[in-house]
Amino acid sequence: MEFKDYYSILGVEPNADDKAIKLAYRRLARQYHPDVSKHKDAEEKFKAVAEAYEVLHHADKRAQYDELRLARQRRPSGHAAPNSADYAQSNHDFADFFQSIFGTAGTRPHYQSTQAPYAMQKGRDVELEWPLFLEDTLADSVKPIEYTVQHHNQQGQPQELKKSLNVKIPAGTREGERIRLKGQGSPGIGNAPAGDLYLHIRLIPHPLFDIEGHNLLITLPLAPWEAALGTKITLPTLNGKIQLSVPANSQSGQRLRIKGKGLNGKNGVGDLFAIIKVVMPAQNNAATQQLWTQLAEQAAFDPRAQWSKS
Amino acid sequence: MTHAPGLYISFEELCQSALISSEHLRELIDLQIILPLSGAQAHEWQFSASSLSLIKKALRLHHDLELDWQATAVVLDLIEERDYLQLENAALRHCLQRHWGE
Repeated sequence: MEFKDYYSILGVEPNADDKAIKLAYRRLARQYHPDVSKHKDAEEKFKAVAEAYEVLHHADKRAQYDELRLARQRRPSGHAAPNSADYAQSNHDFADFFQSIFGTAGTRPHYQSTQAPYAMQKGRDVELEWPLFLEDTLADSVKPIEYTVQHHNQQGQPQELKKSLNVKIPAGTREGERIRLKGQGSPGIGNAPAGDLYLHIRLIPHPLFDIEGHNLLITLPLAPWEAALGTKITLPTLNGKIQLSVPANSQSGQRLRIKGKGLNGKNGVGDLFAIIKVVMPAQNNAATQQLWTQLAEQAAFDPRAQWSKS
Repeated sequence: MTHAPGLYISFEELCQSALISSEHLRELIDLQIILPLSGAQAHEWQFSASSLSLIKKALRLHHDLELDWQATAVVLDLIEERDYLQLENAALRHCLQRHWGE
């Protein structure tokens, strides 16, 4: 097992006093705490820092660790463990290293990925991200989910258990919500109840629609002459196509409201907004070029009139 | 078999799942770290299904960053606001990309 240098993890000297160790921990915890940090390896780094601190800020644990550290330095090869054959035999992570010294899981209480198996203990709650399509949330619907939970067998050894469920998705489920499935987490130990399953809803971006509260937005591309003259178009909505009249002299960025074609919300049904985007044809032939030139000459229009005012 | 999801969790269930005492949970409610959605008495209180993850986050912040509970409540509010703004920012960027992108 690789020896963990807790001092270098905290960035302090081996003779650092308690105050320096605490300060180093606080600084690193603020930087890497997974609840506040957006660093990509935040959780991993924080676990290492928390474990180092757990040892170094307890005088007795630190003394025990220092002893191992010094013993290891005295060994010529420098990589095997000092006084226990166990040390050299496995190659696991921090928690294992910590556990091999102190006999308990190395992470701080609320980071424990496994709980000690007691005779009667409720199973662990499990939280999963659940990606859903917007269409799945329009009406009550059912979708299967497969996941794995950990449990301890009768000998107390950890085992993985595959589960599959059909889950009812309530209409109007939104991004970021959690739904709870009671008793569908890890099995309890003894006769204790199973933990719960929490599904954290993540909506997969829709190819056409964006969500704004309980309204939907769609970008409506128009040719310049359609914006100028008005037109009738076929507009997709979440429940079928509709005919939409675009008024003459429509502007890019203008919103056309289609009432009642949004999402079901607590305060009724939202609306669909078609946001106009005037687009130019990629190429013009000589004839259209001629027409644009005529238009330029005849339309007395200064789109930058605002600029000359200032 | 279809499993109907629960959108709520009770006071007692929250204590059991978060491994905290009922007195401690009441303190978190007093600090408005979580609030019941309905129910007049503790035994009738119903919380949103997101409450457990919020309590666990509060416990982590309090313990790992050595914050007092008042500071924990402030940090949680700021994290919530940050998360909301990030989500809104991503949605607006996505809209802009649709509208102004190629």
